[in-house]
Amino acid sequence: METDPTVLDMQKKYGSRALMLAIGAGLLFLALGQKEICRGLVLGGVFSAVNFALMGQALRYRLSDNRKAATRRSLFSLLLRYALLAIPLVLAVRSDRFNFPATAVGLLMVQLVIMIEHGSRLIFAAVKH
Amino acid sequence: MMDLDIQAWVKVAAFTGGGIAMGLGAVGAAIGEGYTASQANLAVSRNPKISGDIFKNMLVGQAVAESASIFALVVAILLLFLDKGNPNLLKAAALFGAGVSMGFGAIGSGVGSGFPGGQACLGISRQPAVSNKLTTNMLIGSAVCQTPAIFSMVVALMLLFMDFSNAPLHPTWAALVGAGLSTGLAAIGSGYGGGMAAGASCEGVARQPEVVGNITTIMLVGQAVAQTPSIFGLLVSFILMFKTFPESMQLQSAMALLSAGLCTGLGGIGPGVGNGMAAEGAVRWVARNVTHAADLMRTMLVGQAVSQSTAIYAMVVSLVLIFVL
Repeated sequence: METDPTVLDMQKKYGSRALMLAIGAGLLFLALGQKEICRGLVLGGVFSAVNFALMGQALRYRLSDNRKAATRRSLFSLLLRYALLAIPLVLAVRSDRFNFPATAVGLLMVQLVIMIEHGSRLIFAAVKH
Repeated sequence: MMDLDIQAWVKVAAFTGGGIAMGLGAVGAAIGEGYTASQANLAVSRNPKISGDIFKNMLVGQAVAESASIFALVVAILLLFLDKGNPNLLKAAALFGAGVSMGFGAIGSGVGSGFPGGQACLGISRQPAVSNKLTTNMLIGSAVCQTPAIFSMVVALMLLFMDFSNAPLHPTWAALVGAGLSTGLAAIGSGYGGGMAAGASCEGVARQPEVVGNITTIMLVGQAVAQTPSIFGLLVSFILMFKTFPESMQLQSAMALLSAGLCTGLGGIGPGVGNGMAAEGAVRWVARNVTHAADLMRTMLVGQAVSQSTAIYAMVVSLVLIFVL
């Protein structure tokens, strides 16, 4: 079973916007001389986008197998994604080159983009009325 | 030798706290995401033509529901890898309390934020034309559901980074563990209850899309009141963290502070869920009978206030345990 193209489009849209937001905010901090915050935001943002992509890619495996296999694959994909998200956090806590709070915020970049998009849509609709 | 023992205790507390934070933190989000997926299956079987839209909504809902477990992951990694600084036994208690606060605190928000995701998927299968409204409503509801988990993370980070080394070991160790328990446990009910209101809201928007404003308003009011028990938990945690307790080697002094945290924490679970039930009922029926929205709001608020009283009793007992005994 192939991943639905509309799902792929949505993943690309949110993933790329999350990266753009992370890089944009990172550049702003770089201009302010905060290199560690910039690196942390970009690192977290990259892993946030990869995690979201994996979430969608795992869907087809969950749906195409029998229940036992789907459960096994879902559990594996969940563990894989948590392990993946732990990488930038461990890096940030171990190295002075990355700011830890900025890395943690970067990991929530896809969620932030989703909230910003729908929040702004709601505000514009209210202003129109 | 003694130094080594203390270092070992700090590590034991940090590792145990980290395990609790991530172990419990994964429970809620996984259940919430699973619920969203189960409702998405129902939605696809009902309207397979728009399976793509349902998948998209499910994925977005699951991504937001996962936030609580990402908070838990952040705290767990800090507990495992952060330089513990000057090790002392109070630090050990604070690190353990941080793990407990985050672990328990992520359960309710994780489960609760799955409800709007699931109901939004079902709603899209019924009313594909209002999928945007449904997704927005789902995201607002899910985001508000995360607030108790954020309270727990704030307490966990304060326990991790504040310096308690000047306080006496006895009974401050119990106050720090109690602080983690208070917010962590109280957040369970509030997160779950807030999710019930948000789920009913998505169901209501699918039923009557033209009254989305009324439905969202009553959902937000209901969720705000449902979060009061977790605010009580936060308040007791702050008192336990910031009040200076006189040194006392008596076990009962320490147990009074630990019980103060447990009392508000456990006492907040029921009222949080109960308030969520009241809000769920009001939101559901506003969608069916919007002309009586004011009556429904009043009934909801009175019902929530009565349900809330048990959380207030628990907080009063906690304050007695802290200030009187």
